[in-house]
This record gives sequence, C-alpha cells and structure tokens, in this order.
Amino acid sequence: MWAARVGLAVAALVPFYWIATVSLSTPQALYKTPLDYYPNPPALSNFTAVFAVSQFPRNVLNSLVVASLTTLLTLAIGSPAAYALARLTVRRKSAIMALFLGIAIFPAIGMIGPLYVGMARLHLINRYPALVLPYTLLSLPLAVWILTHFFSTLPRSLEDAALVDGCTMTRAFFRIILPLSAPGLLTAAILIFIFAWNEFLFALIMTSTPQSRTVPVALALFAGLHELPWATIAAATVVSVLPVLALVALFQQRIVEGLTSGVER
Amino acid sequence: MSGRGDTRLAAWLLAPSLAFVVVVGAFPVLSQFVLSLWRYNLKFAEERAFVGLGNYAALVRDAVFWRDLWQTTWFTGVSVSLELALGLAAALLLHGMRRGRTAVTASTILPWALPTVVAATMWSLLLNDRIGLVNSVLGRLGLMGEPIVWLGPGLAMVSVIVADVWKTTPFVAIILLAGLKSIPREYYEAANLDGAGRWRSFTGITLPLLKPFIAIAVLFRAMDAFRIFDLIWVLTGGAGGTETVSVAIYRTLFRYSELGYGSAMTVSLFFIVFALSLLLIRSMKVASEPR
Repeated sequence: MWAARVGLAVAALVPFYWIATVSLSTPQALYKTPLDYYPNPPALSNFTAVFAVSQFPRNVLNSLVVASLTTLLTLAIGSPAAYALARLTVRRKSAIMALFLGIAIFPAIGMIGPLYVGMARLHLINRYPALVLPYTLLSLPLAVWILTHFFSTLPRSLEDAALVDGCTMTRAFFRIILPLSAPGLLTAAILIFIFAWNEFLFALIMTSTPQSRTVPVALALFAGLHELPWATIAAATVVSVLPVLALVALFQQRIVEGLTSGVER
Repeated sequence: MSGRGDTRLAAWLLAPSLAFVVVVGAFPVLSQFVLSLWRYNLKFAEERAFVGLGNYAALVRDAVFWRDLWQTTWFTGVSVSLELALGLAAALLLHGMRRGRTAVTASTILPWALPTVVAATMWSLLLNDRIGLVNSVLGRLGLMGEPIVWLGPGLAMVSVIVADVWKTTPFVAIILLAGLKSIPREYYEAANLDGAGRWRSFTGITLPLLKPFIAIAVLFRAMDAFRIFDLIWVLTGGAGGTETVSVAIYRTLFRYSELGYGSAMTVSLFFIVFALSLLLIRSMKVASEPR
C-alpha cells in the first residue's frame, strides 16, 4: 500500500520535477543525448532572462490585482445573496437558482464576443475591469453555492439570540454571522482567487498589449513573441507556479473543504 | 421570524448579485441566442440577414461540427472514466493513511490548482519528441526506435487525455475522499464480524454509499470536459484530431468572424451541456434514493 501511495505522489510530482530541471538547465544541455535527468550544469540564467526580456513582472502584478479584485467583488455581492438563500424566505427561489445555474453552464467562449464589444464601448479593453467583471460573473455561482452551504451549517440560535437582544436582522448579519463565517469566506476566497489567477480565454481576448496581459496569456504567447528557448519558457512557468504552490501549501485544508462543501451531509 | 420583513431583507441581500448577473451576464447570453438567428460575418457586416433557424439547419448538415462533437464526446467519456477510476484509487489510498496524509494530499491537489496553460506547458515539455523526458526514458530502456511524435496525428488525443487526467484527477479524488470520510466505521466493523472480506465490504458498503459523491464528481467533470478549450489550444491548437466544440467555436467566431454561425454553435453547446447535466442529475437522484 505504501508503494502505491508513494507512486501516487510521484505521478503528481514528476511533471513539476521535470519543468524545474529544465528551468535550471542551460539551453544547450537539453539537446544532449542521452539527456541528463537533473540540471547539469545548473544555471540561473533562464530566470534572469525571463525578467530581462519580457514584461513578466508586470504580468504577475496584473494577475495579482485582477485575482484580488475579483475575489473581493465576488464575496461582496455573493455572500449577502448566499445568506438570504440559506436563511431567509426568498421569493422565486428556484428561478434565482436557475439563473445562477444557467450562468455556470453557459459556454464562456460564447460570452466573450458580446462582452468584448461592451467593454470596447466603455473603453475598458486592456484595463482591469475588462477581466474583473467577467471573472466575477463566472465565479459568482460557485461562491454562492459554497457560501449557502456554509451559512446553513451555522446554528440558527445565533441570530435568534441577537434578535432577542434587540438587534435587527441586518445587524445580526454584520455583527454575528459575518465574523463567524470567516472560515467559509476564506475557503470561497481561495477558490475564486485560484480560478481568476488561472483563467486564460477571457484574458487572451480582452488584452492586446504586453503590459496588460495576465500570467497565463503571457506564458502561452511567450514562445511566439520572443522565440525563446524551452529553458526560458520553463523558467517563466516555474515563476507563475509559485503563488499557487504557496496557496496550496498554506491552505490545503481550506481548499479541500471548499471543493467538498455541498456534497457532505 | 418570517414573513414580510424577512422577505424584504432577502430581496435587498439578493439584489446586488442579481443586478450584476443581469447587467453583465444577460446581454452576452441573450445576444448569442439572437445572433444565432442571423447570417452575420463581421467582415461583410452590410450583408447580414435574418435567417431564422437557418444556421441550425446548416449545423446539422455540417460534417466538421459532427466530427468535433464526436471528438469532444470521446475526450469527455475517456478522460472522465479514467479520472473516476484513478480518483477512486487515490481516495482509497489517502483515506487509509494515518501518518503523512497532509503532505501526500497537498502534492495530490497541486496539479488541480495550476493554471491550465501551465499544465499544458509542462506536458509539452514532457512529451516533446526531441527534448522530452518521456521519449528519453523510452529510448534509454530500449523501448523506442524512432522518436515518438506524441502531439502529432494519431497520438495527439491520447496525449491531451493524459494531460487532462493528470490535472483533474485530484478534484475527483478530493470529492470521493469526502465521501469515504462520511461512511461510518461501524458499518465495516459489522461486516467484518459477519465474515465479509475486504472486497465484499468494498462492493457491499463502500461503492453503494459513495454513489452520490461519484455522481457529483462526474457531473462537474463532464460539464467542464465537454467545454474544454485552453488545454487543447496550448497543447495542439486543435490539430491532429483534437479539435473540440469550444475550439471550433473559437475558430469560427474569432478567426472566421462568423458571428451568426458561431453563436448557433455556442447555443447548441449550451443545450448539449444542459441536457448532459440534467441526465447526470437524474441518475444522481436515482443513485441516492434509499433502497
């Protein structure tokens, strides 16, 4: 059994090992036969090349800003909605759920064209809102799903106690429910952030200058733009993996909770 | 505490997100439905004309669309099945662990959290016919004569499926792990007392109680797999028999500027995914009904 467990971890990690190896190799070393399976000789030149040749630091900044704003906006409008769905009498509840579900199912590729036209009219192409607004739309259904589940697990007696003390329902939400929901909000936040950090299709169409690109688009267009060797592409990829690596290492448990909320009984 | 005030508060709380969905979402979605009824190429905008269901009639006779639909179905079926089998194995392995579970779980979910573009770059490095690790290892073991062109015709779909399975099996594993945790330990103890072996417990207890979790994992995965775009766009660009419906829509809308026809493809894909999810939800309900 232990052999199988180690095998599982190795299967997940081999591609990471290989891209790290390539990123630390000299471009020439990759064409040796037989190939070395570790950096020989090790070199950091690919990483300096990434930051010298391209707008990559700017791309990283763009991704951070877009992902953070998306997370904040989605939580700001999604958490009150989830609270209402979990706790209050909502009229036309099934129609509202169907609306969220419809957005979740509709092929994103079809929304891009009309949204591009709309953003162009508002002169938002190559600017943050052109990505933050569509990303918020796409992550809202998942956020509402996770948070509705989370709010419904909090004991009802909390609000009742607040109401007995003369709090209004609105006050009870902001003073009691919201602080207690910090773990649920964090879980949703991490999943939204990862989604926005990783999104490619909208970012490809809504940005047209190297300065405005996010990390995934910059990566995908790297090879064609600079005719860079594989080793440099690998170095850029490693840089873009680091934030995700940090999130997974720090919040592994929260991510698992977020993915499984709604399926647990 | 229910009644009027309650309902009014609910409306206020729901208003921001509903307004957002309508303002940002309704226009693009509805415009696809409207555009799909027009012959409309952006390059010949003055020639646009209302054609009713003409685009859909053309779509039904479009051999390339059927080919892409078949390739998408094939991709979805094979990759989701593999993800389910491997995800179940991974969940069982993780569930049985006492020590070191955190480290193994973290490394297991890592591929899922990556940008798809990054995963695709990683796999093009592994599968590159000249400098790839896979060909190098095969060559060293003496299992390969000529370098294998993994991303060329014939093998491209296999490579895309392998990359997708690597990236999304973690998601299935995590959902099924939650399922395994929800099964009371006493069930196994009782079965053990009755003399049931491990296989018998697995087929008699684990699998039936896991069914709703399997259904949810398959639902989410199938809906995403059927709309797959970025992995294929980066790995093969849709060449070598890997063009899926989303890649075809991208080509039609953004390369050929065929807004009408591309919108009809989008709306069709929407209804196919909708039907697929209804089918899976129904089977999920059947699966979780008590017997």
